[in-house]
Amino acid sequence: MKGGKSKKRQNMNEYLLHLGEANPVTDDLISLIFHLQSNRDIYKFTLSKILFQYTTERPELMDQWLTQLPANAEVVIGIAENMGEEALQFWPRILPILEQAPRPTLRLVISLDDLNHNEIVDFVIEGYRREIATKSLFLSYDLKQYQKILVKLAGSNPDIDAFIQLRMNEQEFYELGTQVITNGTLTPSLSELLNDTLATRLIDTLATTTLSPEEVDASSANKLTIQDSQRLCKLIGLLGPTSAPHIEALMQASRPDAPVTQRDNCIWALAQSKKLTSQLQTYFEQFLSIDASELASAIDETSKKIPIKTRDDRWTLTVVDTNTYFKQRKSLSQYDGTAPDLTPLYAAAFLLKHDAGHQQAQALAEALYQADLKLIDHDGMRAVLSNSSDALEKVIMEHPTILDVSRYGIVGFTSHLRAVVAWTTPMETLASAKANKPEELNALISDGLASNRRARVINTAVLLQAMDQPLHPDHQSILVEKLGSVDLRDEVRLYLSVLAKGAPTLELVSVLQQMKSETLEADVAKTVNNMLLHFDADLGSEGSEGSMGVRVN
Amino acid sequence: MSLTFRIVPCFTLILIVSLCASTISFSKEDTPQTAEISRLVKALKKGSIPSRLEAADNLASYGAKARRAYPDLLKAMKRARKAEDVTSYLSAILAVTDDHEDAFELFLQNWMQ
Repeated sequence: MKGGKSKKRQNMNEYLLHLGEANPVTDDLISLIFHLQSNRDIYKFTLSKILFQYTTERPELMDQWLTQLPANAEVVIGIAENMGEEALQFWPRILPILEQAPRPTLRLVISLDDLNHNEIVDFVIEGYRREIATKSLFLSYDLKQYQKILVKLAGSNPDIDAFIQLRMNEQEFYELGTQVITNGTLTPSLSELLNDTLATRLIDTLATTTLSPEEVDASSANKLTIQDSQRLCKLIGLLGPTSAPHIEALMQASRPDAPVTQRDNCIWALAQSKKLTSQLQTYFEQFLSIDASELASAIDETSKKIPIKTRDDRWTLTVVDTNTYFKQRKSLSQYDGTAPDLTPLYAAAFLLKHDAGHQQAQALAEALYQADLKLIDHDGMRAVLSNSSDALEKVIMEHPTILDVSRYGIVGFTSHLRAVVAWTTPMETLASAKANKPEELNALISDGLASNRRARVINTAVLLQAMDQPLHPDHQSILVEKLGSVDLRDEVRLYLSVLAKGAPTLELVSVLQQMKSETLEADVAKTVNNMLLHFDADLGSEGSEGSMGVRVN
Repeated sequence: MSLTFRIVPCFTLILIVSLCASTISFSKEDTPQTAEISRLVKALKKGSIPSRLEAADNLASYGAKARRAYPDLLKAMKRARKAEDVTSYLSAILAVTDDHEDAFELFLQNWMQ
């Protein structure tokens, strides 16, 4: 019954909306609308829309609304919302009634391009603080909207960030900062302010409890602390640690007796340092003396525990949100507890990135490469799997830079591949060591592409994708061959994106044309078509002889 | 003489009356605007739905000059089912007359259904 009534009300409002199209806008028509305001079946939205339409016919009416409707703030703000940027001219008059209608005001503010008005900033900060204070446990719709606006604001004006920080307490600023880091644009001063806040918070968090691996499972409070520390490390890493306190905090968080997942994130954050200081060099060098085969078996053990789900013999990704799927939580905690310690790999990667000639790091990178670790690059996983799962796509969209495997995802592969996601891989690390030796680097890449290990090929393709140079003919030939024989449809996108940097050889064009005649997913078909058109245009511009007789159908 | 005196004023009177009548009739029937409004009213009464709507739109453009179309516009509005059609007739009524009360009432009646 309730549904029927609601439907009737909706139909009535849809009908009434047409009254907005009535023209000319006579005074008694306006009186009629005012009269209708008292009808509880009429949505404020409907009234605002109608009155907005009348205002476009008779602009002088806005003045009348502002005078006559202070008691019905929602309708006035609704009219302003429909006006968009035009509403700014009335801002001083709308201001006194903003608080009476926060949600339409939010919608209005979101629709504005220019947010740098003190009144808007005040309104948004106060609203955000109120939401944090009252609904700190849940991310309410309004809180998200306030955050969205503040993230936009923080990147739009170099002065506004400090102003925002001054107005907020540490918790509020921290909550906002995490949003800005992951979803927004950081100004240098905000970056610095946030880094300090995060480092202080990390030190405080670490000080609240002792974090030994045994205690991780023993107490859920400890688990929360670990998750918080992981998150803080990642945020600092994304900002790039810049000062001694940040480095100190990260070193403390990644000390050898800390839980592995925490270490993993905090070491990664430390490796985001822009400079190789002697302190960092000494710190990272202590991790280099490990046996590569031990690490390989640890990774093997972990990968065996990755739950496998298959569907049509394709890669399938199981994205597990620990907050939602209690049943999956057990397998997640098992994974957490046995995650391999990749610190040596991260240490070698960092040292070689800053000093390609670091011999001990080189030796370890070589050993890790030869040990054939079952690792898949974080970016590679995104590139390959992003089209395989809507759920992962959603997670990536929400967390474009942070894909927290321990919290959000466990990758379940078919028998073709089981691998653990890592921030970097031995392939990438070894490539850093050979950065100044082009021939050796090319040989390494050829070896990686020709490998029969799927993860290694993917990691090599990701490396090529990131390299700022044209594709080497040898690498292109191997990739074209792989593309021609590929039964692993998920990698196609990755290979195509690498081959787009290549030359339009006869082999490549014919493989593309062959693909074109097959049934492809829409985005792949589009990429193939674009590449063929692009190559054909290139060849055409070089002369008719250059087109090798290949034509795009 | 006496007959002549009696006939002349009679003829004059008839002439004047017929002249006046023809002038009135000419001014009423032969203004192109009036003719067009009449045609539109006729379309409003007997036309198809699209031609009724078109007629209402055109009548609105004549403003108060199309005042006499008001009863037929109201009837057309009463017959209309779609909200956008009702609004078109209402707009025409708003344009041709200052008396909107019945039209508003009709609109609200439809809206409440």
